Amino acid sequence: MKDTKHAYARRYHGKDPNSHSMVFPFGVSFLFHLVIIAALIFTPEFGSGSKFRAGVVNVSLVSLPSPGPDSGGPAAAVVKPKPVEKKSPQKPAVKIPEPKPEPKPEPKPKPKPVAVVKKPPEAVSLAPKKKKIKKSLKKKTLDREKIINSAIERIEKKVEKTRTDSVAAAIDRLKRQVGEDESQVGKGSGETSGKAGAGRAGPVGGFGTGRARIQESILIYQAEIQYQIQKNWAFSQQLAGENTQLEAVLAIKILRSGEIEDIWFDKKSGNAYLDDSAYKALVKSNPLPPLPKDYMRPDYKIGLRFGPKGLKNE
Amino acid sequence: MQKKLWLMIALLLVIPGLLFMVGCQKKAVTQAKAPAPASAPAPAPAPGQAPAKAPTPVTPSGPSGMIMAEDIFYDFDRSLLTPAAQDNLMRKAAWLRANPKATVTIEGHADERGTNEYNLALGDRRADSAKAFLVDLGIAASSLTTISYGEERPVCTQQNEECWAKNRRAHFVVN
Amino acid sequence: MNRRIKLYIFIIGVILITFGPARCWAEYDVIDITKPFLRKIPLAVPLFKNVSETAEEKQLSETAADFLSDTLEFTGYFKILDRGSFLFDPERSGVTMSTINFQNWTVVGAELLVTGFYEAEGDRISVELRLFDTFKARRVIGKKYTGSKTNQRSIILRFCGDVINYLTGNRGVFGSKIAFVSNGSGNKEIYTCAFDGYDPRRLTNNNAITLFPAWSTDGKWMAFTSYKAGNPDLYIRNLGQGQETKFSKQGINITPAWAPGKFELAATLSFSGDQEIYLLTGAGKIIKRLTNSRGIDVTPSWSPDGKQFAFVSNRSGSAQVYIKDLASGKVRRLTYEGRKNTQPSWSPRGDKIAYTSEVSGGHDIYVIGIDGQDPVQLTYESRDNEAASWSPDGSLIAFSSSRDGPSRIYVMTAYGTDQRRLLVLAGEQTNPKWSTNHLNN
Repeated sequence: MKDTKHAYARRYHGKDPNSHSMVFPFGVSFLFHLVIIAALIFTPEFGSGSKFRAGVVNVSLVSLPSPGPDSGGPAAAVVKPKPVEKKSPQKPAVKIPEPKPEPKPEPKPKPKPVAVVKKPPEAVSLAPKKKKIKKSLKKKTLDREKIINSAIERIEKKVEKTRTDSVAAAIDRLKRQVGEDESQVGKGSGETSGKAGAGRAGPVGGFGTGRARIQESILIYQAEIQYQIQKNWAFSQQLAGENTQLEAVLAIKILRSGEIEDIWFDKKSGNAYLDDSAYKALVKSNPLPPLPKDYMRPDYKIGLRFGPKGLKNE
Repeated sequence: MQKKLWLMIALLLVIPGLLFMVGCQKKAVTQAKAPAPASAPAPAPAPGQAPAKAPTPVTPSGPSGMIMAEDIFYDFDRSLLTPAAQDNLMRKAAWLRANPKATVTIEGHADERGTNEYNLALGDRRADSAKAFLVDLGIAASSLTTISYGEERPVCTQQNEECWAKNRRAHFVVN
Repeated sequence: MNRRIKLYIFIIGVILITFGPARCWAEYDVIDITKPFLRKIPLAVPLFKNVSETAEEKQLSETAADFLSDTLEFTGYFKILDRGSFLFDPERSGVTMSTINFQNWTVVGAELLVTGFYEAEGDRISVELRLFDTFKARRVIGKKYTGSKTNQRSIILRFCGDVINYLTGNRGVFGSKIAFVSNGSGNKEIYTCAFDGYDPRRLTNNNAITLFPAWSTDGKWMAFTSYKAGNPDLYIRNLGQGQETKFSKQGINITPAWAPGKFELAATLSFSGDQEIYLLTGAGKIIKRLTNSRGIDVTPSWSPDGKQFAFVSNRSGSAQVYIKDLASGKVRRLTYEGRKNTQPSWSPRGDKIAYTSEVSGGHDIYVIGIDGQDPVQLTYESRDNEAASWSPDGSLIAFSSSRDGPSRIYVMTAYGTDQRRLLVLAGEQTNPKWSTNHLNN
């Protein structure tokens, strides 16, 4: 009993040793990159330099779907980091072709915004062709490199621009819809490009303008679930101690029915009591309202930053 | 304005009077009378004493009489002696000089605003300042003791300035 | 040539990859959740399951369950759920891990659950008490307590201490007492009661003004000021044996405050002609003078480590709170807002000081960080709210309030929530002082 008592006290008052930091995984992936790139550059005999070919091949394919803040938003955002982290041979390559396969083969059985698992097979399917091309172009590697690099830059700019356009359109639509749904969105009128209703911080990830591509219905949905989760959150600042800067970031995966299929921590606060209370709030919020009808994917992932900020703000 | 004028006169008369105190009791009586109307406004909140004071001339050699029974009053949160208080103390000094065997306990009080402990300290300072003034006028320190009651012994309990002013006092008990 | 170019390519590629995706680590939106709807833990305390079904046992058992709920509610950490909303009746089924369906509890919103298994036989009672985390479906405390019927209160308090210990690492307030001044007998005398106002008792019989109770850390001594000898003198009483040491000097001898963990106390003495704070032994001998300025220096309050104390001084023209560090001798002013700030009380957690501030219409209690930042007003009632005194774990504050007319002892959380009256006695009650949590438990 005594051990438990002290152990729990330590948990409440000590820093969580597992508190999440991106430095370690980033460092690991960076090293991994180095190794792979080195391999790619210095041992081309193995023929895995398909990234270059893929880049060239896809420059012309990168005409992102016109301003429809379709669900490609978060997925497109994902394009850069996730495949880079997880897929071995085609990292930079994969990020380019992403936008293309996405809108078309959309309703696949398990498409996720982070649909890394799904994407590579497509990329891989292209790869063999590219491999052949690459081999033949091996001698022209130098030029290839320059073209790739400039292509990458051009693509990035293009994506940015497209998203900017869609932002403007999305804003207009949102303004209309948000104005109608005053009660749900809170103070959301006119607040878009990532802000829906009270207190939404906007997405962390992807391009800054990635959020512009999110449907306005998703923004409204976010406001709904924010309200519901807050209602279910029981937290006593007294028990957490005096630190009002605590923050825990959790994430959930919501199925179309509104059922929460999974809950996990992206960042623990270091305070076990706050982490627990946030987790319980999410469990209690199950089921959430069903996903909006015009959201095409079978599930929706969203992060939740729990930060009590003390009683002074009340 | 008038008060000031009277006070000045009083002082002018009193000071030389003090110098000749021993032999000039009559003079003291006259002087005591003169400042009476001037100091009337100050002790006004002590109605019990005022009417008694005005008609009856103070006899320094009499029983621990009227002069010693008069309280002196202070401003809010202050232990400084107001001119009226000083004036009154001078008359008390006269009586004490005439009754050298008398010993006096000076009680310091405060109104109920403010906290207990602070008011005890304030009452302490009020009693001390009255004692110091008397000692300066030549009264033997050993015949004077002080005690503070802070806000613990009010003479009235209404929550208004009139009552509070009555409580901000030093009270003299002849033993 | 080729090789060098390859090297350049390698470096460029690395740089691109490094800085391109560097900003991104999550691929989904994040929304902010900042306002918990409930600022307490929802806790369910259903009626206990009883061994027999005798009316007497049932009665005692229900009293125990109610007292447990009330006591946990007193801490301010919990929202006790209404029994009427429960779906599950442990009385009929189970109170143990294996027999509870936690879904029944999470569904009504309970995050914690207490169950009891109660038996009363003759003069003895025995009760098994368990605390469960309903979401984790885990038992976190399980104990059996036995004692005589008259010990029921302390049995329940012991369990409450276990619960608070589980949540906070300390045992809370359940073994502590509150001393205060009441004039119901015709004079101000010192009384004591349990932390929740239970069993108030008169301590002094001086038949004279008695003020400023102060507990020693070990709870064995009480210092106070009394006029029983005709002057505000300091008395140091041994609570067990009842004998008193008197410290009497000309002038006032007031506001004693025991140094934490020591047989020494600070007090304001004015025998020198000025009101200054001195350090004395518990036997009433002056050790040294602690303050040195003309004017009023009064009401010392020690930091929990005993290295500093807060006090009131009017050295800058009005009554304000200052802090003195014993080692360096440095004095710094703490309060700058408000025209008169008095009665400092240093939190046992060391980080905050509660004090009384004069406002128009009376007084209110404020709390300020020891760095002097962010004074926060805790009471807003008209009239007087004064004499704050922290609970031993720093979670609650006792104070006196005349919001209802006569002055009464109130308790609130350290954040100013849940303000409620502690007890009502004849006359008026003032000047509460909360002891440490040393008494039994």
